[in-house]
Amino acid sequence: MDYEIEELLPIVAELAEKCTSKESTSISYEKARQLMEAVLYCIHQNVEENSLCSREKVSAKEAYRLGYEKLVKKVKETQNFYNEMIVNFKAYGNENYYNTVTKAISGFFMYYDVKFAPQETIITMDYPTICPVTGCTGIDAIAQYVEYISYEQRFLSALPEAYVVEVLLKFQRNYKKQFDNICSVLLRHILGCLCIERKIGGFGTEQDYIRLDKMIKECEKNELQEKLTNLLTGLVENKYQGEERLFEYLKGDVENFVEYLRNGSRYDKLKRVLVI
Amino acid sequence: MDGNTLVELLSEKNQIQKVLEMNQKTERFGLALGDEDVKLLLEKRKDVLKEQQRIEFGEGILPKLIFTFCDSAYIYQDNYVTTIIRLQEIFYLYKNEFMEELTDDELLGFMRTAFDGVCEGSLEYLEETFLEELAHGFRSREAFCGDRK
Repeated sequence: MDYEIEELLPIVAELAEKCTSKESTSISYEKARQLMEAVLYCIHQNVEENSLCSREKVSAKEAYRLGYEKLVKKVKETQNFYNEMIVNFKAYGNENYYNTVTKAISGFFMYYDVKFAPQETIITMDYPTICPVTGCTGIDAIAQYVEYISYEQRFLSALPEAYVVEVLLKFQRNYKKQFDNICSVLLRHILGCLCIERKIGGFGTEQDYIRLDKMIKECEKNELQEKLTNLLTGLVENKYQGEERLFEYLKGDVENFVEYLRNGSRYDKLKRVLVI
Repeated sequence: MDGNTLVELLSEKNQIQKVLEMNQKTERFGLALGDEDVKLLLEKRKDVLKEQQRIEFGEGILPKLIFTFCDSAYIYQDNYVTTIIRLQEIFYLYKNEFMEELTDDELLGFMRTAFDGVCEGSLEYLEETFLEELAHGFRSREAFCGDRK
């Protein structure tokens, strides 16, 4: 959906007036650029949902108005979703996870400027999710991030809290201070156990690592990837009611996990890759 | 003539009209602008906006600036156009220097008070001493408040 600059400028001018409360007749180029981005961000909200009929092009002003309404609704929905999730949120002692989810995200909702700077993400989302949030900014990025965090919480909540902490400690003694993804440690732990058909709970022996290593060496890369994906499919079907979105999110770790396993096996460093 | 040029010309025509209308208010102080004066003012306005990297919407600051200074004892018909051109330059410069924190009216107010007062009609003193010191103090205060935050 392309609009000419002449169609967009009046909207920017109107925003500039509101932004300055009509107390300034001029704005800096930087401010004008920011407001133009704000207008385009709102218009783009319509493109995402494909809600504007392509044959009947609406005016830029109308597209902006519709997009802005969608944006306000999106912010409200995301905030409500976040507020529900945060009630039972567990960081399992990891400071970065805790600070990012409880403080940074709530800070976003406090300071997000939906009218004049909706394209700004404001926070840095320091806690890394399994699937990175890319290609979007502002509330789109935060909505995606909150969704990913909810998947992690869903996954982890099926395990006893003490057990999660035990695995994390076993994997990395000072995990509380680290900036790694918590969920993938547990996911790899479970998949690793399933790989060698070891019961989940407690920790593996030297023999278990040898069995895992043998399995990795006997598999081609794509075979290993398929095996882990199938195990993940079974896990999500059995324990998480086959939730497809959860599966897709967790599957995002499989490719990396395969690389780590193959390298870990090659250099005899499997214990650094996962806890079984 | 394409559509864009026509829009620009119409917009410029509106702006010329707005500025010329100010003559009704300034004539009793012995000040008036001709068509060519206004065109020159608008041309200079374009240049200084580009130089200061600013965009103006609507009728711009010119009518208000003229109204603010028209009864100054230091402005008379002979120096009217050149003074307004310089005041326009100073205004946009200091909109940036005060980091958008002053409204148009506040800045114009400071400028007028200083111009007639301590600057005694000197545009150089207004730009390079009075406003510069004021802006410096303002930026230091902002930096201090920023550090404290």
